[in-house]
Amino acid sequence: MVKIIYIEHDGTEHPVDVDVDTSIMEGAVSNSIPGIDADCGGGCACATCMVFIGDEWKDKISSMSDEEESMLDFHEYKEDSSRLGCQIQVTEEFDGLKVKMPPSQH
Amino acid sequence: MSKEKTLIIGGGQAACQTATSLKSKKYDGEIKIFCSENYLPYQRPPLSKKFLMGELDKERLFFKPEKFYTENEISINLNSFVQRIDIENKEIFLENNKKENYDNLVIATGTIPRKIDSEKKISDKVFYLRSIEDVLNIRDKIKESKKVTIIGGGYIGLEVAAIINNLGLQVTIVEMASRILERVTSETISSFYTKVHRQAGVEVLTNTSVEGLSENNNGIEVITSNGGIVSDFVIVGIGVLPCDTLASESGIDVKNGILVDEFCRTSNDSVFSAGDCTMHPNIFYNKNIRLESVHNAIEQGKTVASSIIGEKISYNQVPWFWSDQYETKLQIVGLLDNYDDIIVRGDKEKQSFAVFYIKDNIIIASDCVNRPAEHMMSRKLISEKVLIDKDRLSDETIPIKEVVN
Repeated sequence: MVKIIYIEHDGTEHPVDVDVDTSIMEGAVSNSIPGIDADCGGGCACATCMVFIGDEWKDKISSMSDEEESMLDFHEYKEDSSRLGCQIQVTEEFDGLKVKMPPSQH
Repeated sequence: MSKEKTLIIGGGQAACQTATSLKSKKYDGEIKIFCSENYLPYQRPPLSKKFLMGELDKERLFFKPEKFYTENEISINLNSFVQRIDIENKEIFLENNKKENYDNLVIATGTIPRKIDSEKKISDKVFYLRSIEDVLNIRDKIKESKKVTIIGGGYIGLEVAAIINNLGLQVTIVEMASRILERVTSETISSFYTKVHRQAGVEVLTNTSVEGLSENNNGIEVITSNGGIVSDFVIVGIGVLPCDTLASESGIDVKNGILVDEFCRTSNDSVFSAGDCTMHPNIFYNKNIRLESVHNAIEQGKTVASSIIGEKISYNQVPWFWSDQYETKLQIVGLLDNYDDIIVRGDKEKQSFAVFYIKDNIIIASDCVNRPAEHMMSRKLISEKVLIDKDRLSDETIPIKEVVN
């Protein structure tokens, strides 16, 4: 278990414990964090689990596939720090990670 | 005054979405869910994909952990079979004559697999795939088998074929129609997937109808119009039927599914329905349709929740789907409804291409194989009904985002 802090667009913080080897998306969904829809359940098919992750975490997080990049490219609120939560597996190194959510996933 | 009460029948995506949307919309009534299975509401798409492969624990299929329901005061009743609905007195009847009254009822009963007639006496070698339990049984059977016959060349049959082939078994697909996926897609996509499966070593038999099943010491024989096929077991994926009997027996209108309006209300004002079991109006195709899709289940669940709390938000969605087979991800948007032209963008040989279905110079649907950008762009172009230039659409030197100015 590691502590991940999910931050809603309005600034509301949700610090929760997330199992290692699940995804950032699953951590949000199983803790009922608002702001991540995850319609396809983690298949990289829908782009409704976008989060923003600060640059300081870049080294600890797996790099992005072309597929993920293409899906993100069409998200209304895409920024440089965007990732799909379903594509990032949680490791021990994520303890204290802060992820922010966009105003909407659609 | 006692609290308003909403009962939800079903334990799938639409049922769970209705309950979670009611909660996020601050509905303050009582919510009770009745699931016929012994599992918390769970995702079905991975059943024919990663869960069949054995890559996911079943707990990871659950939409929400048990504590979610407790914390949100959603009463979740597993193994609960609703026997009938009394729409006059607003009551549902469970087993042992237990009954429960409601103010709003949501029927989210989904579908059941279509059965083949001759399966009755040999059921231990014939499998259907709809539930966690079905997959656990198939997984056990795979371990002791070398050869499987899959009846039906639809998405379920093909996904299962890909997984079982990857697990090292010899797979034969038997399809009655002249091509696989005939009911749902174009010749272009059918021939592509036929080739993908054959290259992977799967035998694909089309124009082959099943005439019977016969069990013997060596396994089970599928007797077809083109001869017999012996294997260790059989998986049947020949489509699904909407679970609408509970509704129809109570006097609610059904027609190949539970009829609902754009607010997901049935012919009875206090009864709503969502998900695969509904026959509902779609404004993009201007007709009533029934969809077997996660996206529809989610959106109708949201629509039902809106209707219950008195928001008038109509369902207004272009359908989309996906299918994973081997190294290909197929993303589908729209319905192939009387298109007059097809544009292919990309390279089939490289397993990276998009097929656009066009009617009057407007894209009405697309099938994208390993082409997420084209898929996402199609969703936008279809919902906005944008006029397109076919030459630009097929020209790969123009990025998909710039195809429409």
